[in-house]
Amino acid sequence: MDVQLKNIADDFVKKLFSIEEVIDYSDAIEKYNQDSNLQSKINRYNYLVEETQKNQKHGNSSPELVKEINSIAAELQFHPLYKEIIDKQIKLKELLRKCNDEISSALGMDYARLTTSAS
Amino acid sequence: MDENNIALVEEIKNKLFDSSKELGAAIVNSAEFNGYVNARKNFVSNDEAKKILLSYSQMVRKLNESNNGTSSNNIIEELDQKKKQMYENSILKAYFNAEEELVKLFKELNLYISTKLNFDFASFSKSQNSCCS
Repeated sequence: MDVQLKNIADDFVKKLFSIEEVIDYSDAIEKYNQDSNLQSKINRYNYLVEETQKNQKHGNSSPELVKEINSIAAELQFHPLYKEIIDKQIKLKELLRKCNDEISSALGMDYARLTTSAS
Repeated sequence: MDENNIALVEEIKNKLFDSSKELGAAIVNSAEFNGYVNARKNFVSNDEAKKILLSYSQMVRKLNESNNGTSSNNIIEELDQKKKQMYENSILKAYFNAEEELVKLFKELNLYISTKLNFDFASFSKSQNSCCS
């Protein structure tokens, strides 16, 4: 990637960071990451999933672990900070789709679709 | 939000969309994009290359429609043959390579932008109607 393209990409990122949708989403992510209670629940969830997978590999069932996984998953799903991220993400995606439309229109092909395609 | 603020937000967004256009134009000016455009032009004007690709695509489609991807060894061999034929054709080979290079640039640019943003720009900006084709 040449220097000119990098400079234009830098300018694009700079402009994105001046937009409310991007600032709100970044703030929501930061709040989510900084909530120690929430993070310990996520760590516990990941640990339980890992343990359950290990048990399954060895042919053992672990209904107690599965019950706790489902309980934490439900709690996380309805956590206000998680819901905030989802809400902000919806607005952010709407804005970014318009950016992709502009980029794609210049290219004559869908930039985001091709970028996310398997190579 | 008062009228002044609405106008200001609108102006900031318009600058962002202008910047998106500039980013698109910068990609168009890249060696990778020009290589792709030329390779595609050569492909479109070459009947033999078009015939080979069409024949391969038709066979893949027929296979998918007929038996959900399961197929006999004969058909797989025939498909491999057609694939080999495609890559032996210099026009098609150049076209595929150019496309690969362009997508590589797209991915590199996306990584560059996404690392700064802390989220995947391309995944977030993909239209919901975009799929896997």
